Amino acid sequence: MAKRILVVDDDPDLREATEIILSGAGYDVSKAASGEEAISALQQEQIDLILLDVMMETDTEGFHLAYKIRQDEKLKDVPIIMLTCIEEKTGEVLDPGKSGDYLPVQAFLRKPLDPEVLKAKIAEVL
Amino acid sequence: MNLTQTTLDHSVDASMSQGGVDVQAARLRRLVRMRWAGGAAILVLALLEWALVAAGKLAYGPWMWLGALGLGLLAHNLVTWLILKGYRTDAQTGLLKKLRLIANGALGLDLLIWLATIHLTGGVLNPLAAVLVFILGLAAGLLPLRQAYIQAGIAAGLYVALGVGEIMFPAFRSPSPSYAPLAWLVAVPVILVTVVYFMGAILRRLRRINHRLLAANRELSALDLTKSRFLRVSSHQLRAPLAAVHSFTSAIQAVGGLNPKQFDLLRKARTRIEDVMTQLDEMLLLSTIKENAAETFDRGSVKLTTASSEAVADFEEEARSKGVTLRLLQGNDEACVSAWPDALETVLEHLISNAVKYTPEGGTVTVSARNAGQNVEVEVADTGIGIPPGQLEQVCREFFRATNARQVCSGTGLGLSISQAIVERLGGRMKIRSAQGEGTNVEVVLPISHHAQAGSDEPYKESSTNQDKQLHTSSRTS
Repeated sequence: MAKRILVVDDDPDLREATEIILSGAGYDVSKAASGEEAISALQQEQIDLILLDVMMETDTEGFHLAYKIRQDEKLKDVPIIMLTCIEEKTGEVLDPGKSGDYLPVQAFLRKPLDPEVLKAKIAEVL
Repeated sequence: MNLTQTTLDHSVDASMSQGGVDVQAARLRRLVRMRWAGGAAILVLALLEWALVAAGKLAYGPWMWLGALGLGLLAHNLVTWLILKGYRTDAQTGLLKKLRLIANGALGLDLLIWLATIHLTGGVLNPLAAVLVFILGLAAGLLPLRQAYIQAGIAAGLYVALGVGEIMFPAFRSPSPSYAPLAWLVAVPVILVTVVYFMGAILRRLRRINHRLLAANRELSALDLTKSRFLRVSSHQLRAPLAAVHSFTSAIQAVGGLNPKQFDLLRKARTRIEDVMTQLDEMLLLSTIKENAAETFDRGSVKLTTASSEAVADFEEEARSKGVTLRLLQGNDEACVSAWPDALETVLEHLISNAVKYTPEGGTVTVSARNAGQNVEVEVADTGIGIPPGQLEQVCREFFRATNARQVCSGTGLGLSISQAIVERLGGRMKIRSAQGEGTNVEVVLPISHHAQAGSDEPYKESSTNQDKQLHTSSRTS
């Protein structure tokens, strides 16, 4: 059975492009444009991996979503790959994981995505 | 807002500008006003002397000479006043020189007249000599310093000559009026007031200039911040659509069905997009560093040797494929600097990247780190194309690329600006030495952090793939 990946990103173009790349690699893809959509998708479908953009509507939406997922009993073991931008490097984004325990995600990938790197990382994590 | 309005309108020395002429003219007018009082004072002295002679208190007094001197001064002042009235505001070439000439003439005459007055009212040891101080103070404000010194010199010389004459030829002396001791009671306060007046005027002017400079500086800093913020926001805004375009090129390749030519064109397009995105990232990084106060970044203790090992490791592949020797010289000491994570690595990566990029095959890039008392010194030296003389000062400027660098490869022109901004933010200095055709040497000096040794997750990594790594710090000869 093909693995299903949830792509969470507020940019529709990036969602579409990522879907094309991933379905080309044989995965089933679900899409979500925000934290709420992601939660409802997670409750309705069996998701095997979450591809999470850190910066969406607000600077910390990605992190908050990851945190919420980790809190949920049913979802806490779903692997998450976070997509970050240069802003984290320059210290602009608050990291709730910094103070306190480290937020457990499986990997951080830098945008722009190299499709080969993405596919390799996904295969590694799944 | 017109920036030039906040720069200084007048300089302290009267310059050739329109402002300078006006200032000079204003000062001259003030001198003229004072001379009315001066001339009147001499006439009063003449009157006093005449009264004393008439009352029999004094044997004789050259009150007629005094009267003549006073009237002469007033007459000259009238002429000067008329000339000044007639001059026009629009700058005529040589007007400043004319004004200076008038000033010199007036002041010189004043000195002569007052020297004579002093002599005629009881000799040079007369408290009225204080007036000379006042006049020379005015001269210092009105004339270029050298001319003021000349006036002072002449006055002093004549004063001494008069004094010598009075001592050697007693008949030359004027009778000392009995009011002489009383005159000291007047003279000393006059001297005190004179000093306060001049010092006050000078200080007031300096304070005003200082205010203007501070205001201009504040404005420039604010403008610089605005520019950085604009740069940061634009870069940020541009990144998102570019990221989307980049993803689409990847998606097209993933969809497949392209003939080789199409594939190749698409690949080239993607590379260009990646170049732009790198450029934007650099611009973003630079403006963020410049814009943010140091507190925004969480600083910790960063071990120098770790950062340099990792930075060098990043470029081994590139150096090897180019045929360039890349070596790291450092001890295994524990020196740490206070910096946010990535700061040191970013600096070193940019410097090493430059060194490798601009060194041709067969050359060497040496990265060395060493302790130097309160600081650590990191040096990146290459045997590459160097920086042309005359472009060394500009090399750290944003987007600047040296002429010989352009021919070698593409680049953002931001690497050194970023490195310098980070180094300065960390409280250090960056120094660049170079000789065209021989190589370049960039030295970064950073203060050692005195915090307790950071509990570093990673122990000191032995980068065993380094060629030529030596475990002892060696002093480099460049």
